[in-house]
Amino acid sequence: MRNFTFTFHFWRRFMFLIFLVTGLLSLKVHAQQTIAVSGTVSSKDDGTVIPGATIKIKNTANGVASDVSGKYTIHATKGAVIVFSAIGYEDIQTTITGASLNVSLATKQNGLNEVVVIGYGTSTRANLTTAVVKIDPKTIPKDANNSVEELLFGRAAGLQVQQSSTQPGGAINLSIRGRGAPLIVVDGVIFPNDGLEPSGGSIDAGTNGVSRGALAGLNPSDIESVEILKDASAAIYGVNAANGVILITTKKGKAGKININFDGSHSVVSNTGYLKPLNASQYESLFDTFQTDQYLGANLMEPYGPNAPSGVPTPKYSTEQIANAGVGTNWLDQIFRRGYIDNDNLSVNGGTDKTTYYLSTGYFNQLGTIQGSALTKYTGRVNLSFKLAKFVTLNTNFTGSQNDYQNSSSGGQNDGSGSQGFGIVQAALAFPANIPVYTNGVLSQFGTTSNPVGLMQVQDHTHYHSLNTNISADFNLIPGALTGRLLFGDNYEAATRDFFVPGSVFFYQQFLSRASLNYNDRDNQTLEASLTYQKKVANFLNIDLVGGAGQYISKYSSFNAQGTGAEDGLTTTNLGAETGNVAITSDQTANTTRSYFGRGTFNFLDRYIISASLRDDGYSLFFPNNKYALFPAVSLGWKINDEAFFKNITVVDLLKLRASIGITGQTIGSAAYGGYSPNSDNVYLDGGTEYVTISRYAVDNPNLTWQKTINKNIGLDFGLFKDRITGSVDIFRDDITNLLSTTAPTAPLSEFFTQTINGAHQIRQGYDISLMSHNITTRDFDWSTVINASHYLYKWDTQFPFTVLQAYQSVNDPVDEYYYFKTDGLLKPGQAVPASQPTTGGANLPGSPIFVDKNNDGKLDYRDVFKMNPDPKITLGFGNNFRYKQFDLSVFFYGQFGGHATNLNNAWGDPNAIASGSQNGTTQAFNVYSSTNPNGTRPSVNYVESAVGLLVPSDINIASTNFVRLRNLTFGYTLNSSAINGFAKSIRVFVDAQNLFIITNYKGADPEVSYQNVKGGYAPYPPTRTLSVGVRASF
Amino acid sequence: MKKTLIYTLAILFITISGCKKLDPQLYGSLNAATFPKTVADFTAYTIQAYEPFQAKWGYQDGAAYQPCWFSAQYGQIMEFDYGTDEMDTFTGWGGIFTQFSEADYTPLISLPDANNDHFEKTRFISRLTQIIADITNSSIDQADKNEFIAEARMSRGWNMYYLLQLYGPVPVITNPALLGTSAESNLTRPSRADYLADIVSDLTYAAANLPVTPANYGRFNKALALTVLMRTYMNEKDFADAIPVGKQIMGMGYSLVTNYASLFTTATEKNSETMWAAICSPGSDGKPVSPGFNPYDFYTYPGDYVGNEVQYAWGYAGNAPFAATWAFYNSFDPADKRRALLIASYTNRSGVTVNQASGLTGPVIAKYPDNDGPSGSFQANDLPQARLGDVMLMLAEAENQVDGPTSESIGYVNQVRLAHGGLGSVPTAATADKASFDAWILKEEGWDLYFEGDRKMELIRHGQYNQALQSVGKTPTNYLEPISNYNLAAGKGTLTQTPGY
Repeated sequence: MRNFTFTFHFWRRFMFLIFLVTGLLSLKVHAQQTIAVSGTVSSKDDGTVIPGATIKIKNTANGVASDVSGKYTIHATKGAVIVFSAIGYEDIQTTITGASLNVSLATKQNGLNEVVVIGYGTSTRANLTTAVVKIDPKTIPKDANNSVEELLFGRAAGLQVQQSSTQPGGAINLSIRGRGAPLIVVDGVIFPNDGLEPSGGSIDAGTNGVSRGALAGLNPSDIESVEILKDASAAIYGVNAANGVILITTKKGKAGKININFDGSHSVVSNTGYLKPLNASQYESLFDTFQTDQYLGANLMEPYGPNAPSGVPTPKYSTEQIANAGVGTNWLDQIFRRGYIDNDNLSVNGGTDKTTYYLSTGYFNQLGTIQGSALTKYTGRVNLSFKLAKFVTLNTNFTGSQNDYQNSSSGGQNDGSGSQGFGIVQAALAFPANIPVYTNGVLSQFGTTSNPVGLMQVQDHTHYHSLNTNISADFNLIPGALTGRLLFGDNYEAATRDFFVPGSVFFYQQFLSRASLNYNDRDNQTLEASLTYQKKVANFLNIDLVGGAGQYISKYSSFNAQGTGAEDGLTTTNLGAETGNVAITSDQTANTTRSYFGRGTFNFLDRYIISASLRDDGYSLFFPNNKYALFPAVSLGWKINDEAFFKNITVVDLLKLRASIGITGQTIGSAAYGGYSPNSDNVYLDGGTEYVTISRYAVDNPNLTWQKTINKNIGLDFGLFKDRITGSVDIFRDDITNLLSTTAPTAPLSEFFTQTINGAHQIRQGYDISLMSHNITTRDFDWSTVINASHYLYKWDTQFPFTVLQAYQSVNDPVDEYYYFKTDGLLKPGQAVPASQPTTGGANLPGSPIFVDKNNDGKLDYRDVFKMNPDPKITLGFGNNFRYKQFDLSVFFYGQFGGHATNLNNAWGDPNAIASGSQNGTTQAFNVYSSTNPNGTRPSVNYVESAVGLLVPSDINIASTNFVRLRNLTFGYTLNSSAINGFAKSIRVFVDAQNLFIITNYKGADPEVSYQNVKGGYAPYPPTRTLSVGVRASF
Repeated sequence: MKKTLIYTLAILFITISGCKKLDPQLYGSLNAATFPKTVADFTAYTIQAYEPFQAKWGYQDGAAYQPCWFSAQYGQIMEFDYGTDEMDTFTGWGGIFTQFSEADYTPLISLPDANNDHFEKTRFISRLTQIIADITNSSIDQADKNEFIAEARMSRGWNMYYLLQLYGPVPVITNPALLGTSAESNLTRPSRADYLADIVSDLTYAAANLPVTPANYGRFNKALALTVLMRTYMNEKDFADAIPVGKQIMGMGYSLVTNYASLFTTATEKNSETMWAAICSPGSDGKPVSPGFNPYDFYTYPGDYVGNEVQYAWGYAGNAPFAATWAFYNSFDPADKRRALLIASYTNRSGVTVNQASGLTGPVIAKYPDNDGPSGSFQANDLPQARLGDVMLMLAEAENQVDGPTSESIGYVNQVRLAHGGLGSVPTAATADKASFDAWILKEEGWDLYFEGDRKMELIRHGQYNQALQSVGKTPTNYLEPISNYNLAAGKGTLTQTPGY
């Protein structure tokens, strides 16, 4: 494999050099004369040829069209300007300089006739009656990305994309209008919307830092388009469409000459801002200060009390020691590194009118920026389409993928343990800088925390593979009117996690070998049959009817085996040789949903469009009388600009008002059926003999049924100045009724803590805005801008029957509401302590936050609790594309405003943790109020919030999550010379910077990355910046 | 051809459309029609009664994480020993360590949810009531029924005993007919007499039906039921009822060991004195799927203390989360062999001697020696929960309360002093009258039972709680714990807060 990579790289760089040289040679001057110019017209985005493109000499009537292979020949004089145009593409104007001229046209953004996939059919932007956004991945840089989700950051109004973890292949959470994980449908087949990753078993001591993303088996380069169904349009996918639907369409073969496309890039990945650990002398100095201050506080000595300091214990580190400690060990440098990404994709497509093909292969190799983290991904794809008879076409589509992950233990311990369970990044933040990596030739020890350098020897690999099969047959039953389709799709994924800690490594406070082999797999099947009838039945009426039935099966199984104490050399190859903690676990689940669906769209006079759909869905895990439910939807569109009274307003190309209402449904993993199962809290008697405990987990709930969301949406689509400015505005409201929960509260003396019921009602409302403007369009220079903005509010309408609301909560609070005590600076020495100030946990000492007594009653209680909705008020995406001749530049920002989060990074700057000697601390500890830092802004070491016994937390760790991120800055150059045009259709070279910078006041790491509250502190995988160089060529 | 095709399509359509029946696939689940039926079923079903009585981090009860009564955190040591005169305050970790060691239970009001809230064990009482009903209504042998019911009632009575010590009487459902009804929402506290009657009824039934020596070591036995019943009477100062129970235990054939340390050592944890202990296994990590474990050395050894198998504990240098007070250490007769399990001076990792003079905050509690491994891991010393020494001291206390210092009651104390401490008789001054002897017995209970999760109850029933805490600089407030705001709200006005909060 190494050899292959090497030669592959070499070949790529060699070709690149050749292109560059030949390109330069071709810059010659020619005399003016009439010549025959010929070439190929292709799509800039995917390199496919464009048949039927118009090639005209500017300001003349002379023109030709490209043939089925995209080829053309036109006679013109040198220096004349030729205009290339094609439906769905931006025009290009080029001056003739030679006999050979290949052009590649960019896809027209938001064009009125742009085809939009809507589920069981297509529509156009002009005729859409629902809120559907299309994202065209071809216009998004993909060089450093291994998953489809990575392409979507900030690209669509109303789609929230959140990076859960920045590790290679890390989870990215998608959410439409804040609803949570949407239904994902790839070429008609339902895909799981979460990652598949086995745990490391219980012997991994909770250091399992892996958070894997969904769609790991797809290659972003194979994606043709992504459509997002935001409103009642999702109702056609009634089964679990309550969170909206993301439709992913992959690339297919097209009739025409063979097309070969190659993309290759190399990226350098570096960590951006991260927590800054204290260096050795800083640590020693702050340790002394905080310990001294603890003594001063306990004895009420200045500045913490009226007494003069006396008997202060000698600090641990002398002034001389501190001065000589220097910088010490930077433990983060020991475990962080520069990463890289190689991403190469090759695809071949073409075909005849009988057979078309698309074949692709992808290679993605990433070295993570933490030692021991990496991803190598291979994908292969075959799409073949055969016209078996005049009325039958068979489509086959196979995608295989193999991902090899190396996992590092970033993040936080998830088993509730303390510093003994720290993962590699936590350990690096916890190890004081005054400890060397090695003491007397062996790895240094610091309490029960594992040495970060030692943790590099932990072997943790995941081997994932997937096979996606998609076979369909299209029947042309009545030509031009009735078509039928049978679809079978199956997405199978399996992952094996191999976890091994050698006994030579101090891990979880022991030198003990630990091994586990963990497997899980899942299978998602879609079987559907549908019929479509499209006809212009009268001059004034177009109808489009679709009806069908489908069955969707989902299966999951897992198996883990583990043990400790075997010889290191055996690793995970022979778990039978383990001597302790031997355990086996397994799990299996399955469920089936079945659906009957239909939709009719009626277009009157191309002005009034009405569409109605109905879906009947059944879920196996509900009781018979509640298995099936109906999900209707109706939407209307009125193209105002086609009305007679609008005829004279020529600046408006499209003005369409649309409205939709519909119901989407959601099932839930857990069943309506109660029962008994082993509860895994096993009891051990006889000195260690295991007795399995079987307990009742639920009683039958025959009334359990579908959660139903009523989606309402009103939108306006417009196009102005010959489509120079296009856009959409939508306002929406979701009413989530019959809210389903497996963890709904129960009566306080019920033997069950939770129950699976339908109960509450939530409301989500907001708006989405998208705008696209072609600011300047000239022969040599283009400039276009896209803006999207969205907002939502998510709140309770009715709570579950046994929900316990605290006195400070209201029934209609936002679902994510924060409750907190407001603080107003720190108490200063001599300042009168407010009557309302708590007295426990050091809260009445100088250096503690002053709690705001909202109602001035001298008490701090529930009446003083403040509320805040932490969800962002607005999320924005903002992009600009420029072209000057063959140069192109695109800049894409996204960001959010008005949001808040609890900044858990502050745990690492906690003076108590430093004074306790259990961790190093970060430079944020410099802001702590102390006897030597009377102007500090963070509470002193004597304030221990966990010991104050507050009803709700204080606001000292609540921080704004406002940010603006430069997601992509891409600069490209399309080579165009006769030397190249002779053998290549288009060649573009580019450099791209991803996450070049972020502007935010959020301290520590990244406001976008997810955190968990763990002991010690959470240490997420560091956010990264990626710089790429690449080439895209099509032949 | 085309016709065939349309027909095929139509058939396919009808096939899919026709079968509207969707059967659930429920893997690995037992349903009410098939479970529990057999003795094997009830063995697995009833054993969950032991979940709160293990030595683990805790157990997962549905969606809530609950500490066991013998967990290191929120368990008997924290609840009943930490906030007394025997153990030092510890503020280094904040949170529950500060609160419990300072005997300040007020912050428990703000527990946000069911996790770690012992009050939620009232749900476990409902669960045990359901289990008892299921056993009663089953068709297994009467003898098997009796034993299963005895185990479940032992658990119910003991859980209710602990809840009573924490909160006073709490609402529980012991009548199966009320399960699943609106009674589950009624959190009115019962009268103390009614609540006690339920405990006594459960433990009496358990004592009558549990075997003396169960087939599996670690299952509840008769002596345990009697000991908890005796403690119930003692803590209610119902000494007259406690005496016959104590006498019954005395006649069961247990005898005091003469090596006190051997009670807490893995090799000798099964002995003539220990009647029941929470089992700990070597190499366990104390998680729900694992056996019980003994993590105490990690809490009791200072960070610079070098033990045998535990060389790096979680404490700070010279300051462990769990340490004895110097006052308690100094209260011992220096010749008392029981004091040897408290380390007043040690040589630290750097070779320096650490003691009170050099800043050791309190003697190191080495009651569970780390002699048996595994290295660096949690230890396997069982945690005795009922032993004859305890019963004899309680019996002496009860008889003294009823009849004053009798030779019999003085004899019990002397036997324990001799066997465990290697000491002579109680000084005559201490047996001069009822009050003097009662005060002495409280001291003797401290010396014999320290770090076994009993001190708070001893202090309260001897009427010495406030004085004892003040003697070590702690501020006694309320020895009962408050109900969390969360549960008060859940009671919708039916649940009254613990008096004093």
